[in-house]
Amino acid sequence: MIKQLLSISLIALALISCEQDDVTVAYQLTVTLNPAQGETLPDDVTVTAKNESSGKEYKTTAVANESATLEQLPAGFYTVTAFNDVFNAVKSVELFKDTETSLTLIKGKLGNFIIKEVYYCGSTTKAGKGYYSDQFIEVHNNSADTLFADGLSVTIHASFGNSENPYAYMATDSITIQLCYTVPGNGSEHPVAPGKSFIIAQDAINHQSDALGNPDSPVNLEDAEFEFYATRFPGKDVDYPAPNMLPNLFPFIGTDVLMHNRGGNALALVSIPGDVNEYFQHNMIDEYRAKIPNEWVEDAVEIMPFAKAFKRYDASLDAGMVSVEAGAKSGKSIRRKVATEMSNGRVIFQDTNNSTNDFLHDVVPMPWSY
Amino acid sequence: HPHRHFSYLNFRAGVGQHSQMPPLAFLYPAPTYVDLVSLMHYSNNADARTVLFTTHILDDTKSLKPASNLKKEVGVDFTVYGIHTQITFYQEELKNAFSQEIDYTWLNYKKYDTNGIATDSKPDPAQLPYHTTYYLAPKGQVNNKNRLEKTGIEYRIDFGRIHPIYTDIIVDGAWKKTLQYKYINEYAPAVVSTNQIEAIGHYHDQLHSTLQLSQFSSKLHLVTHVPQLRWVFSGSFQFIWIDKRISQFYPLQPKALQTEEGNRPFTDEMASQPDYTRFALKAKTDVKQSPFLFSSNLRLSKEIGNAVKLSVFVNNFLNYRPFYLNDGNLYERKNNTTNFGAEIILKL
Repeated sequence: MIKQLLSISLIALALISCEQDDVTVAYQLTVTLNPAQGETLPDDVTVTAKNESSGKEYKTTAVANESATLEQLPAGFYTVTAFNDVFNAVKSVELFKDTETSLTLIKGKLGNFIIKEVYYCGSTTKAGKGYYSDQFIEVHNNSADTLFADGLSVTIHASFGNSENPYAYMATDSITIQLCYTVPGNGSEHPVAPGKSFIIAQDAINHQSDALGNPDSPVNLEDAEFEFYATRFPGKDVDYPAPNMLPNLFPFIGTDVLMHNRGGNALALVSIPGDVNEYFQHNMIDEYRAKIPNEWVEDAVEIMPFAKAFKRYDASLDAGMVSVEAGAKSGKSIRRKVATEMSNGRVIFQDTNNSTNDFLHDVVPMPWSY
Repeated sequence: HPHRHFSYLNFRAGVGQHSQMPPLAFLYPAPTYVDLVSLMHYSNNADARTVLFTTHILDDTKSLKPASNLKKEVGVDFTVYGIHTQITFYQEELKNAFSQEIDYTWLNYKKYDTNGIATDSKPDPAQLPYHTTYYLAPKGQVNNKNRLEKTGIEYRIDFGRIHPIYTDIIVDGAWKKTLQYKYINEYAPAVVSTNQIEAIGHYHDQLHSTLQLSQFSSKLHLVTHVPQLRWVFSGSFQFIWIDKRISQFYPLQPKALQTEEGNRPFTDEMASQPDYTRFALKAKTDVKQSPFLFSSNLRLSKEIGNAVKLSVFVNNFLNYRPFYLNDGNLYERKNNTTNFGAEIILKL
C-alpha cells in the first residue's frame, strides 16, 4: 500500500514538475543614428522597434550624438523606425542576439501611404491607335499598422512640367494643384493592411477582355478598389461597379480623369483635415487652382515629361524626378523599388523622397504586385 | 497769280447703305439634342447592363433682323504747285450684325436610384424609385447683337513727274480705326469644385468688351515710264507706321442668377463671396502694338512688238521678315518671304 501511495505521489510529483516554464530570450538592440546628408543630428528623434509577430512596439528617444538602446526585446523580426518632424529612416532587423545597427536619416516626412506605381502612358491598340482608359494609380501602405484609405486625397499639380513652374515661388510652403479627388468613406470603411495596397483606376474593368477595350493593354483592373467617374459630359463615362472617388476640384476634366500621357502630371497624396470641399472654398489661388500646405502631403512623385526638368515640388517632398522614356502609348509605368521583403510577405517599398533613386521606370505595370 | 498755285479744287460726298438678310442656316438652325443619363447600371454580365437616356430637343429660334451698314463719305481734291492731292474721310456703322452667343436652359429629367440592385440583375425602371433633377444645358444661338464702327482718312498725293528720269512719285495711304462692340446676355461659368452652385448669370446685354484696331500706313510708288524703251519700272514701298490692337473688357456683374429653383438677384456682397465671385467679370485691358513694318516690291514691264507685254516682279525683295509677338504670346514673322515671278500678256 505504501508502495502504491509512493508511486502515485511520484507520478503526481513528476506531472507537477513537468510544468513547462516559458523561457523568454531577450536581447538588446542598439541603434546608431547617422544624420541626413548636409544636416546635423537632431536631439529629439524617436526610435521605435516593432515586433513583426506580436505587433508590440518598443519606443525610446535618441539623444544627439548617442545611440538609442532598446533593452529586453524578445527575439524575433523587427521593423526599426527613427523619426521626428523633419527626418525619418526605416530598416528591418533580425534580433537573435545582442545587435547593433545603424540608420541614416533622410530629410522628409515618413509616408505611411505612398504612391507605389503610376501607369499614365496608355497602351497601343492593334490598329496602332492610343488607348488611355487603362491608366491607374496604386497606393501602398508602407507602414506596420493597418491604415484607412478613407479621406485620402489624390492631387495633380497645376504645372505641366513642359516649362518653368509658375508656382515655384510658393513651393517651399505649399503645393499648387489643379485636381483633387478623395477616397470615400466615413473614416473606417476602407482598411488597408500593412504591406497591402489599393488601386484607383480611371475605368475599373478588364481592359484586355472588354469589348471596347484593348487586348494589348497590360492590365486587368476589374478588381480595382476605386475608380474615377466624371459626369461633366452626361453619358460619356460609364460608372463601373467599383466605388467612385469623390470629386473636389476638377476644372479641366473632359469625359474622364485622364493623366497627361507624356508625363506632364505630377501626383501627390494629401490628407486634408476637416471637410475637403470647404477647404477648397477658401484656398483657391485663382479661378481654377488651389494650394495645399506641404505638411499635409503624404507622398509626392515628380513625374516629368521625358527630357524635361522643370520641378514642381520642393526638395523636401521629392528631390528627384522620374519619367517613362518610352513615351505615350508604350504600355509602361513607373514603380517604386522594393526596400525590404519581410518573411511574413509584407513588402516595404523604398521611400527616400527622391523619385530619381526610389523609382524604376519603363517597367511593365504590375497592379498589386512587383 | 494765286490761281496758278491753286489750280484745281473739287469737293465730293456720298452716302450708302448695305443691308443683308440672315441666311437660312441662321433663321432655321438644326435642333439641339441633349442626352441625359437617367439610369446607368453596369454589370459584368452583358445581359444585365442597362442605360436609360432622357433626350431633350431644343428647337426654338429667335427672329432675326437684317444687318445693315451705313457709310458716309466726304472728300476733297486739290492741286497746289502741280502736286495733286486727294483726301477722303469716311465713317461707317454696322448695326444688327450677326453674332453667336450661348443661351442656357435648365432641363429636368428623372434619375433612377439603383442602390440595392444586384450587379448581375437587370433593373426595371418601372419598379425603381426616382427623383427629378436638373441639368444646365448650353445652346448656341445667333443674334443681331454685333456692332461695328469704322472711321478712316484716305489720302493720295501725286507729286508729279520728274521729267529727266521719267519718274512719277505717288504717295498714298490711310489711317483707319475699327471699333467692335461685344455684349453679354447669359453666362454660366464652369463649376470647378463640388461646393460651387451652378447657375445662369443674367447680364442683360451689358457691354462686355470692345476691340479697337487702328492702323496708319503710307505707300510710296515710284513709276518710271520710258516710252522710247517701252518699259515701265515700278517700285512700291509700304510703311505701316502704327498697327495697334486694344482689347478692353469691362467689369460686370449679373443682374440675377437663375438656379433650377428660380431667379435670385445678384447683390454687391455676392461679388466677393467665394461661391459667387466667378460670376463677377473683371476689367482687363490688353494693348498689342506691332512695331514699324516695311515691305518693298519691284516690277519691270517691257512691251515687245505690238502684242506682247512681259513683266518680271519681285515682292519683298529685301526679305524683311521681322519677328513679332502675337496675341497668343507666340512669335510670328510678318511679311511673306521674297518671291518673284514673270507674266506675259498677249493681245490677240
